[in-house]
Amino acid sequence: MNRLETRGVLLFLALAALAPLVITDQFFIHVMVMVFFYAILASSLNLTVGFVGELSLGHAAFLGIGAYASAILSTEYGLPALACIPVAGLLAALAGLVIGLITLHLEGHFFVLITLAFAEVLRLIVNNWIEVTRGPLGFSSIPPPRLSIGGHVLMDFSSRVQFYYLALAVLAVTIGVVLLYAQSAFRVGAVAVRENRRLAKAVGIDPFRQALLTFVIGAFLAGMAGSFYAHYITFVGPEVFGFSFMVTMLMMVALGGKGTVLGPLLGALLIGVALEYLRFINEIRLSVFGILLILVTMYLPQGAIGLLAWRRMRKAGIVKVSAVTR
Amino acid sequence: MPALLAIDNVTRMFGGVVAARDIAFELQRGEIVSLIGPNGAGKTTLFNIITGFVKPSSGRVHFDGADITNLKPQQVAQRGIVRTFQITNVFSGLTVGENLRAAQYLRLTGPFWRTMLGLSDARDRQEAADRDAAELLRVVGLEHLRDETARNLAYGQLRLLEIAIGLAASPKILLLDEPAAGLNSEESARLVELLRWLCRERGITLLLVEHDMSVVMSVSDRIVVMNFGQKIAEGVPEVVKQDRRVIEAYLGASLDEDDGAANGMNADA
Repeated sequence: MNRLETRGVLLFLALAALAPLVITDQFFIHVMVMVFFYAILASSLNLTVGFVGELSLGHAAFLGIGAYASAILSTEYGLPALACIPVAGLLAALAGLVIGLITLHLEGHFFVLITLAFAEVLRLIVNNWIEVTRGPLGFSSIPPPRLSIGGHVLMDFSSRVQFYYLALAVLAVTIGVVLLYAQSAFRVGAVAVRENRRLAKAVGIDPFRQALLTFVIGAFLAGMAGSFYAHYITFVGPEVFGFSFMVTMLMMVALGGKGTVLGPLLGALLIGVALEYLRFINEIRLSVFGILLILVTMYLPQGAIGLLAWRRMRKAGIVKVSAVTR
Repeated sequence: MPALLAIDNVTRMFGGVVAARDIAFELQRGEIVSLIGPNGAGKTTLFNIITGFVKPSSGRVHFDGADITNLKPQQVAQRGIVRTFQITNVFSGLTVGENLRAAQYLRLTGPFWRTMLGLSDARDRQEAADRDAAELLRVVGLEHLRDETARNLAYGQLRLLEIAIGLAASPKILLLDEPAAGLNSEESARLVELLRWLCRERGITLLLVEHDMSVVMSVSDRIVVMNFGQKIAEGVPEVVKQDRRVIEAYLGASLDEDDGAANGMNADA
């Protein structure tokens, strides 16, 4: 973490908090809600991909678990939506613990494949366990959140702006957790494992525990994102476990800059806005992103944030790029 | 006083090849012991066994009275046995300062919430660790390179950084695998000074694998000699260098290949 990044993050949050005062266009508000939702997902994925350096293709599973937990708890058990969000996060974290205990003994390609398999298995279960998940029909009319004190309704989430601030609040919590993590010794351990697993072991760092801890935190955050999604879109079906969410958040992490706090936010902003505003060229939209992902991986491995840091350092006469942006 | 580290009849086979056969020796607190022998004698295998990277086929390793034979590498390190690697091994993408920080991981972390929230004791730990890291960098002479990315360092500097990483993990025993390899004579002399200082001022017990005989002879309290996976001699430098089997092992090796160690051995003997 450097000062540039902390300032960037604070600037992002401040601008986001003020934007609805200036721009009232409903479509813009919707786009930004989706950007915040994606920013939570990308930030949570980045913990494992960026800091530990293991590529998880099963992260959408935690999104899905959070979304379904929220859908079932609110429609069948009447749990208030605002309570669903943390509960969904905890359930996803629990799933993360179980999946992590099984998968994190593997690394590299094997880890990539087994996480992908886990997400697919969960999707199939959700699709077929009709008594619990209602199968392909999914859950519709998921109730919106309500915020009331002593019977007096403060927010009923009948307008998009209220969802906007709810999404921003969950994002702020996410960023808070990620910042704490990035400044703690846990990041030091994770990065050590990423840089040199054998040496990390030789100085007493347990790669498995390090990865598991990070993985579970990421699952918690993704679960909250899933819960928010359920209440905002009001419909949850098996596609929340699908590969398209996975590709989208991965692209955001890669384009923004993995292993940084600000990078996933930038990635979510750039791609989230493009995704929504480019709906009119729906057919080629994803192809364009695919090509973009190839180009970024080849020519800008540190993402947009790497570009920023590099320009700044070049201005200051320092050519080397520190590990913070790597 | 019981030995700090005891290797009890350790054997390791790789398929049909015996990499180490019935090796037994002990390390006392505060000693500097060198493990020497021609290439392929089993020295690095023994390092791997002590530090948990390889399990012995038979035999035990005891540290401070406890059996550590079946511990994982990180558990061995957590108990206080830290090693460096033969082929230079640092966190090459991190700065010199970050390298030491990573090695200090164990003492930087506490319970989950206290570590995550950076509470006061976490901050105290961090400050103490920072002071210690600064001292280590001064000792190895890399303090001016603290913010340099490790991959930009010169070879000799990397070897010193490796030792500093090992030390930052607060070891009771530090195992150094060929620390003088590739160093020029000036750097080697400095290394010898450093190793003596570590032993004297920090009370660290050292086990080295080393081919540079001038380093071995000047720094070691005792020497263990291996050949073809077996221990062939053990004792103080003066005795070992006149041991017939040792001289034969080295001369034999030097007939097959030009082994710098053998030449060094002769020059000293």
